[in-house]
Amino acid sequence: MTMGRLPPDSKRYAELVYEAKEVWHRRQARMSFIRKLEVLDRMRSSADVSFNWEPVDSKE
Amino acid sequence: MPFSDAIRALNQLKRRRIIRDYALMGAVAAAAYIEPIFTQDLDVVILVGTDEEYLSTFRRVVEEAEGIEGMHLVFAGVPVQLFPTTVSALYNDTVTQARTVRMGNLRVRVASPEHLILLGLEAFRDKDQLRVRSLLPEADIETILELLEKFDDDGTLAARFQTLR
Repeated sequence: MTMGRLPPDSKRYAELVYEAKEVWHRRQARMSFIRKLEVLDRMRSSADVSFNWEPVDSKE
Repeated sequence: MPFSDAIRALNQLKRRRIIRDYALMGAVAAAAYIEPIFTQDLDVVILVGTDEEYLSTFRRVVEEAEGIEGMHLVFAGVPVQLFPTTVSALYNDTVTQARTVRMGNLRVRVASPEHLILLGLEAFRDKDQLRVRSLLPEADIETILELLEKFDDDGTLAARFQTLR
């Protein structure tokens, strides 16, 4: 299904959306570990986490 | 790529024999088996045999870190939380039974899904419960029951596990 060819039945539409969503999540789970780390990097970067660390040299 | 660079830094520490062995745990380790779930930091179990070895190893690791924030060390800009295996027998088993996962052309030590489930049952915050549920299809139930037999002294983890199955 594409959004350009919508089924006339709205319930069928929702079923197809959930099926597509499930396929997408399964694909996400099967990605290589390094690609998943890239996803985690992007999530962390977009979360704008406040993190104020000090360099080891100045910790004392 | 901060997370993979931080893991490369751990591999370097192992290659230089500053640490004997390690295993990733927490959300980053879980990503080896399931869809990535947001996390801010990298949790790592470090193999040590005694409290003396923990102190000497961790002091050396601190010297290699870029920085410190509270109980986190910073590698490649990522806060890294280290746990010594002397914390508990489960932590020790997590490292000795860790799996090797490919990260590009590198090999990374990652806690097994069954160990991640037990560690999640210990912490048992909302996000741990979500992760445990997501990991269950990837795990061997018999192995989880064996681990519970070995490491769950008072039955707390088994009771929590039952609520999530």
